[in-house]
Amino acid sequence: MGNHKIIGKSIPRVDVPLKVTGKAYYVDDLKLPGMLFGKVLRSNVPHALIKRIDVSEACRIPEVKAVVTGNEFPYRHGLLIRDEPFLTQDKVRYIGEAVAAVAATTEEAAQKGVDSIRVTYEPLPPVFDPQQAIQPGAPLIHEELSSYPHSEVCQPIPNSNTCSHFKLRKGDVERAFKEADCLLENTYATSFNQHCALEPHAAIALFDPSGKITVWTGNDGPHRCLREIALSMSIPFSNVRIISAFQGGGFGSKGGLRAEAIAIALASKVKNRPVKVVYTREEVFTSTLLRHPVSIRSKVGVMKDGKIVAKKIELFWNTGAYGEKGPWVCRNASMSASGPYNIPNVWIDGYCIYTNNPISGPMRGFGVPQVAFAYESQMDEIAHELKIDPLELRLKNALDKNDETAWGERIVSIGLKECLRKAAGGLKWGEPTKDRNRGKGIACMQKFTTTLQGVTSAIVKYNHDGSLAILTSSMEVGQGVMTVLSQFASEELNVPVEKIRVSSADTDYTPFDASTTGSRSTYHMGNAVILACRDIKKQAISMVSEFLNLPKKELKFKEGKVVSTKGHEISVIELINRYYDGARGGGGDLVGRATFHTKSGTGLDAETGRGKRPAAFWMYGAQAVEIEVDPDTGKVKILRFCTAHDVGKIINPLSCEQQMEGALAMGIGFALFEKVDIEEGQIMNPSLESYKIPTVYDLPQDVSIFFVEEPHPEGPYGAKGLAEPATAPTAAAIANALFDATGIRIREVPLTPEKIQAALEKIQKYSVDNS
Amino acid sequence: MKKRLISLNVNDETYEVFVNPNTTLLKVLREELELTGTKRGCDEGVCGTCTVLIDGRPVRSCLTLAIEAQDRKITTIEGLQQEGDLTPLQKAFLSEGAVQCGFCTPGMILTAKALLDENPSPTEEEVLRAISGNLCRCTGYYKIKKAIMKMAGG
Repeated sequence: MGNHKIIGKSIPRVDVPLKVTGKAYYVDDLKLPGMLFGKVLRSNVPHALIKRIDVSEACRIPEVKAVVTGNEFPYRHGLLIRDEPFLTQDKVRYIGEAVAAVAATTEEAAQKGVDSIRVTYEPLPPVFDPQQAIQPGAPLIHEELSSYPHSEVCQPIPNSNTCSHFKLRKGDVERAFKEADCLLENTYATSFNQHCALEPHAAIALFDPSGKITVWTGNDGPHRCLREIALSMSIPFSNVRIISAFQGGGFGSKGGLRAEAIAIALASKVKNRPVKVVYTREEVFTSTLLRHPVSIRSKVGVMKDGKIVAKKIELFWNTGAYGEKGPWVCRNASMSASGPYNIPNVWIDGYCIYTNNPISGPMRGFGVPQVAFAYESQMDEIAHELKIDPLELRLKNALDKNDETAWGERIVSIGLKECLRKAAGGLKWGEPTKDRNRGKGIACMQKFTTTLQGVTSAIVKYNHDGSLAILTSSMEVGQGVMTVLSQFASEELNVPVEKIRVSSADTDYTPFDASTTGSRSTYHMGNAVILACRDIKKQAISMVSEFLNLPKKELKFKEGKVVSTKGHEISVIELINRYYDGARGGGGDLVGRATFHTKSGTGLDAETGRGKRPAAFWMYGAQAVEIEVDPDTGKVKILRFCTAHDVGKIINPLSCEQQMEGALAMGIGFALFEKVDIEEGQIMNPSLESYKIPTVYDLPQDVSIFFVEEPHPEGPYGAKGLAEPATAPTAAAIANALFDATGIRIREVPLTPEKIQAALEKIQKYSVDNS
Repeated sequence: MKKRLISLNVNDETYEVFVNPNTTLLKVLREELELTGTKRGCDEGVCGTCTVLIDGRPVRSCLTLAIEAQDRKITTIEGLQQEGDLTPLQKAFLSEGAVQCGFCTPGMILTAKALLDENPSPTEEEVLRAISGNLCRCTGYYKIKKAIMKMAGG
């Protein structure tokens, strides 16, 4: 694997010169001729019928060019289940739902128009708690649930609020519980979070006279976005074009149709004029996506020696008013909720439940941070119960290569145990802490990238001056994909990175890619680019064979040249010029193309949750943390953090570190303080002032990052993904350290000072009462 | 509300613009002068993506009225490069990996520039304090700190 020219090197990122000069364009930076500005009237009630919408006053404002309501643009969208109207029709299902929109020549006039619209509602009884929402007789949020088209990922239960039910069955849990030496049953819970990408959601849409819809957006799946629009409106795919701008962070919140839906509905009313919609920060909170809060009941059976023999888990995912990617989050995360352990008997029920809350969807980790908090907290509860060291307990049960997982897959590449040992070693695990208020905790995780979104194509153009253009629909969302793809192409074709340009996505020109999500781009698009480069090599050999009249088997591609066994040597530049007679001023190029998809990928059986290869690859990681708790305030101070991840193969060390550090920061916010506070469906803290994300002062400065390189047989140079994993084990590692420091176990994140202080007071009271 | 004609000095160029008295500097920079490197992240002075320098000091342009910025020297991210070359601070953000999605970057760089112009060799604590009002959701701030410390000789 050695001897790479550029794979494994920290080359500076190719997108950054634009970003440090203010010349990287995001959607809100674009200005098009004749452009209008759109604003939205949003529901202020959680569940109600719309009796009347009066837009007459808005229409009288001279700057207002269009007003649109759901009944005038009566389409529904949804990647997995087509349940969400572009603007609501007849009924609202959450506070913040779009009821009407206005396009005007200025943002201010559009807002004035919105403010003048009067809506009469007839309130319906709302339901906010998912476990209440699935009780018989609960108010139905989608009466027409059974009529919605949906994918196999989503398993709705008609005439209920269950948007999807995921099941996994392995072995005989009840029998194993009877045979186990020790049973533990606990309930864990997480809270609503918001992604808080610093760029608010924005889109521009244009309906042109030819009948084509063009949307400018930072959506993380340009082709997926195209498909969702075309299927919703029953128009040919070729009538939709998505042009991508840089994305100012998304973390899962910029995948479906959010600002896009409003811009499209408005643009349909003002044909030939583009309409720009930029969400306010408050709308980002109320009307894009949140991270699902999950309630997780987990029963585990263990033998005295620490061997886990059975787990039964029920998960209740509060998905809010519409499905979005909720059913997928529920499926993928529930499936992995027994943890990265070899457990012979597993029973899992994951319920994705509609409520009258804002919509929940994927957020960095796709549900895994929530389930990892539960399974890794419970691992420590087992360790405590059996008086086994938490690290030892994990190593005893951890999956190894070729082990069969709960869903019946044989694991082909796993560096979990090494991650655990590295994270623990970095923290000097086993050495006692210095202070009585200090403690250490450890946690690990597993997460996959599904094969269902595996298809990825790329085009590489070799120009006749020796430079390269990579045409890709991968989105630069901040993760550095443009740089990594340049490195792959540079290594394959021996072209320096300075001569390689990576396109942004434009669905009219860049080929299909499922999406830039799930830590999948290095693996999938990396493979597609490598295969496209190899297609160029193959073509070059054919061309040389043709005009030198040599058999192909005597030719090979080496360091940017075609060489023959007889000593011929011809560079690609020379080849193109000779083949196309470029000396007379013509020119030409060599166009390589390729599609990569996971070999033998499968779904999961609807009844048992079993599948041989549901994952393109699995990611594993572990974290160990030392904290200090202030007994007076309950505040947690992180003293040292060690994070170790199996990345398969490091392509760019600097980029790998960037992903680890950013994910860790998000994990710390999730663990300690981030909570979207919702009362009766109303977000009480919809701003960056009242919803706290980590500042530089909230993060530990003593952080060590370790990489484990257990290559994946199908990964590009062995690489796996790494964008999400480091968010997942953080909360449990801190909760476990809190237990080590104080003896208190908190089973709900965030672990706020208030909760910790209350728990500490309870213990103190108990010890005083008993003294 | 009556529009007024004001004169703004931005990146050493003078612009005359008609603005409402309640128009923010952010809006004028982005929409009138088309200097879109200054970002709108929250419009309430919390996130720091709209940071520009006025007379060398970092301010939130979303909380600053354009009319207040008259006759003062405004610097935006577009004003940093000299003859097409990145400044050493921009180069440090590039080489140290301080940039991911890039949305906080202009505000971060200008905040760092204000610090370094006033105090060329800040301590780590001074760097942390300087950037504590600028949010970043991608990086965890580690490499941003490192880039600024590199300029500080650290």
